Amino acid sequence: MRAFAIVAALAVAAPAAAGPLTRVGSKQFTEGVLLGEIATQVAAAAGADARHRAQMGGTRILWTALVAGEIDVYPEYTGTLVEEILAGEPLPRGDLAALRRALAARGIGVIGPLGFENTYALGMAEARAAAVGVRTISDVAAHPALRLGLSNEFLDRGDGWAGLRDRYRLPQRDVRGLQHDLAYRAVADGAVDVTDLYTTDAEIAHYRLRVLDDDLGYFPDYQAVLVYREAWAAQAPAVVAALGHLAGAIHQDDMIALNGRARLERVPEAQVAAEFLASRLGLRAARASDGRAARLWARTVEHVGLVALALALALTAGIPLGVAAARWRRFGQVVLAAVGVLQTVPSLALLVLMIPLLGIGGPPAVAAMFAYSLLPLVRNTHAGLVGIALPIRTSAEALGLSPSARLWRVELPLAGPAILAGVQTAAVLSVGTATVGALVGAGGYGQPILTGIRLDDLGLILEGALPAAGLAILVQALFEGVERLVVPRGLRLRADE
Amino acid sequence: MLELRGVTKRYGPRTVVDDVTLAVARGQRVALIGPSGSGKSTILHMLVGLARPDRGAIVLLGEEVRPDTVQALRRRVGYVIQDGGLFPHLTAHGNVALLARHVGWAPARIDERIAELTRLVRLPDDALARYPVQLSGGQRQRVGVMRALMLDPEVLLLDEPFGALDPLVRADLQDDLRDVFARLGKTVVTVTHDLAEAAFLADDLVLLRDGAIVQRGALRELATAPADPFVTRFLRAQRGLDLEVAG
Repeated sequence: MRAFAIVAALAVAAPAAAGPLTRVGSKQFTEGVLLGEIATQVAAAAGADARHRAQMGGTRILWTALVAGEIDVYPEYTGTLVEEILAGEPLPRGDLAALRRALAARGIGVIGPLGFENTYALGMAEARAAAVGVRTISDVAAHPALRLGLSNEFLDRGDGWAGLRDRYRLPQRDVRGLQHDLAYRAVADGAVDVTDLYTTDAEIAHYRLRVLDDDLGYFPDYQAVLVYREAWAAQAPAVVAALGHLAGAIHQDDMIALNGRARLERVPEAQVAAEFLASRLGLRAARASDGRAARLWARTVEHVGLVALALALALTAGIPLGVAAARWRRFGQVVLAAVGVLQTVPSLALLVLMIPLLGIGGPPAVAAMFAYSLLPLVRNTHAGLVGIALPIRTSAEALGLSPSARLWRVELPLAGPAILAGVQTAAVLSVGTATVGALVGAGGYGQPILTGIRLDDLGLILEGALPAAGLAILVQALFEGVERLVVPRGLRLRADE
Repeated sequence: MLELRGVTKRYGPRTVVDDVTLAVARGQRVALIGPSGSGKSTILHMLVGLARPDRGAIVLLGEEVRPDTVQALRRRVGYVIQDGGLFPHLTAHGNVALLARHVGWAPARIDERIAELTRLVRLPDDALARYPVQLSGGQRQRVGVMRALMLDPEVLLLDEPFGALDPLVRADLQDDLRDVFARLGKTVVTVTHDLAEAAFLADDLVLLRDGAIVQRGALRELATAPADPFVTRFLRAQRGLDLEVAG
């Protein structure tokens, strides 16, 4: 029935050449990516110029991006909206109408519920749970020796660990933070006893896990919905209507099967989504999956683009800063200390700090790479200039060259080898930093690495890691060549040549 | 031509030049001599604006040396330091041509002038294409002199120009330079701690101690009529000079 409705809606919304731009975001876990993919394909079939920015990060990043207008739609859960995003204004649990009103006040609309619930639960390996005799979360409280390994997001969020611990008075203090997908393996291998899970995870059956009963009713409803910007919806009513037909269309069993297909059978999300839309909803989404070579090429273009842009900006700022630092000693001390401190900020922290200022995607990644490139550039330019022998500087000054001629004709050429070494370091560093940029949706070689970690797929990880390493080596070699071209022969000669 | 009027220079608590007044006329060849720390190099630095006097004034070619005048004045003064102070990234030709290019000379004029100077300082032609590290010490010094003479300055300042050379090369170069100075009729101020060299290159010696002038005159005057026992001590300390030193 619903299938017909969607097909009908799509028939009305005839695909236009340049439909409304629809940017779908998704969180960094398989179900999020699958739902994002489904939404993207439905939007595309409804004529939208639909783009999927997959696995952008956690709730905070997605919500911020949505409110800032960086994306238009993303899959979310009612529980997360109530407990995490609207934590400041207590809403009655399970009151969907109240939630819609609260979101509407922020210019955000809701499509759904989509038809399934994916709530948090705690789980243990069946054998271990049986041996210890744990059925409910209250039982976990009675066994302080149980080791907990929880996903990082669950540890951090307001409706996660802290609240659960207080409600059940859980005595465990030694709680390890893990990546969600790795947590299953840790439980299966016996590295930890208890982890948090999503109730639609295909791994529950695969790894023979026992889902512990939430006997105090702590976990709220986590019904899947799509949240979207009203401002975008006004531009794309046909797309909203098409997406509206997803409401109630995805059932619990469907979602578990889709997750299993993607995670356990390693079928690409785009294909899983297309199969689902075709078989269950009769939607034929023309979404050819790119070949490996095309994918690699696209990643390479993104990656090199990020590095080149960041490096160009860093050169524009770093070399003049280095020159100024060499000229004015006090200023130099301050600048060198500042860029040194910048270097010690972890890349992930830097990326997250940049998001409120620069949004998501390329800009924060470029900003982080820029920040890291400054130290080698400023330091080497400074060192190269300060290291020029005194007689040479004296000669240049006494000769009557203007200050700028001294800089361009004498000092910079002499500092050239040191500056070039700094550029080389910055470039190689940026190639590495750019892979982390995938965490904020910048693309590049980090994208397959992230997906590979999520799917526990070594091949996919290598698909990102190998070209990244190759590019770093290539950049290194390239600069050796540039040095031969750029550094004056007189500086490369030795007295006996 | 150049003049110091009551010039004092301090570095921290140390007074390195103490109220020195000194005038050098056009075409005169003067040597500043004295032991290390007597202030002779500092005087040369102040003449080209590498250091500023704390008190007094320096007048060069009729103009006071100040931050706003120094760049133009430097181009009318040739300055040569030990080992030539050549720029290692440029060939000998590039070093000599640098300033002329900067002030906009035509390439033909530059090459003509360099050919002239090459003959003048007796530099082998093939040395012009070499980089400083490929030149001998004497050749580097000759290139340094060429670079200083490029714009045909009225004044030449030499700061220990032969310090890094072995005795034979040094003697050759001293001969050649004395010849050059005599032919060009330039005003030359040489700083050296070597009395024989000073006497060979200059007619007029200025002996300094602790930043002050002890005596000025020809070598013979210093020897026969010393103004201070220090003059006699300084002259005696220089072995191998066949002088009749008074006292």
